[in-house]
Amino acid sequence: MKVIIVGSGSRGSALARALADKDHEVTVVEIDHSRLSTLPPARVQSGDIRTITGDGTRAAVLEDAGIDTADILFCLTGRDSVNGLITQKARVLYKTRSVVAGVKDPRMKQVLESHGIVAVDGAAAMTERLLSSIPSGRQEPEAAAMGPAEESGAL
Amino acid sequence: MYVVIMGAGTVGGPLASSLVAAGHEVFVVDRDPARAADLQARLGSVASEGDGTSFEVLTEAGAGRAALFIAVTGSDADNLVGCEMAKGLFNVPRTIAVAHSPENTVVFERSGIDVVVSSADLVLSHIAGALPAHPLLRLMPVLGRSQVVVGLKIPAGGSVVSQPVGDLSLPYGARLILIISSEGRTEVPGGDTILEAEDEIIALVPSESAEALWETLSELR
Repeated sequence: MKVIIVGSGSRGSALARALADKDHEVTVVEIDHSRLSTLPPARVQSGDIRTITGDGTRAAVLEDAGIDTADILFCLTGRDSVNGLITQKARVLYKTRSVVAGVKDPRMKQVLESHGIVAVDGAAAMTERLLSSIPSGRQEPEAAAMGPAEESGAL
Repeated sequence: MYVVIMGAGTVGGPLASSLVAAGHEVFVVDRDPARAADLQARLGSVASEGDGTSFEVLTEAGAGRAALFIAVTGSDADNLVGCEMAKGLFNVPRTIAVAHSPENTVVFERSGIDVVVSSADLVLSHIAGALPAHPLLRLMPVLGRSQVVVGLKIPAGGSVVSQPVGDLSLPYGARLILIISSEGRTEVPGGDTILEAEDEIIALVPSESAEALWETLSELR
């Protein structure tokens, strides 16, 4: 599957590594170039993980990352509201099939979910839950059980 | 009316002052301690430091009894999510937010924010209005932005000068609403209204045809 991860903090880089290990096409967007060093250098060098330095709230940056054809977008920046904006933008502007926002505040999780966003908290639990729901890269994306975007009807 | 404002900057500060002056009860939160303190010094205890996207901060601000929530921070992300929190968790009946980036405007509207103010559009339309040429002014989006109210001026020597409105070949769906003559007379145009040089026109037009309308009415003979 084509996966975009915005935010290369501990959650984002762990997820990027795990997804690349499962042969998914991974692109990581990070506003602070120096934080891309948290990604496994060999994976980046080989092109298994593509990196983009830029502000993921901007449409042009999301488009560079391939949002038009992405199967899943994860927003795992350090700020809940930024994750909320980017995921909603992906849903509204690009009809991205599945969008997942990392949030620390459980009340915000509730609000974002009412807008059809899959919201997750807790880094370890999140990575585990995400990985269990994503098939390996060779399978069809339909097999993924992430975020039923249209059915929720919240937007 | 009780109003909670998120953002005590160049917009939030004066907005709070004018609402207080109009007799409304106001509370302002801002993540930046200096800005919050500055407003506190001027308005008293109606401002405090806090993140308007936080449930606790909104609870303390009394969002639960607010009739209106206005998000005017410098961050589009905070403005969007702050309004969603206010509406979703505190049932604030009306939310207003500024979207700084034009690409976020539609995202804000789809999220259920009642009034979305696009700051870039406002600045652009004001600048366009001050230009010496006769530009197309996009005054107000309507019907979910599918149509737009525009203002424009008929140039001296324009090909439509002295023509009746009924003879113009306007883009499909375009409606001339009002004509303001250079002497300040206003007229709701009918088919036989004659256009004159320097007339200002207010029109409603499908968004994608606004430029075409402008070209038709601005074309020189």
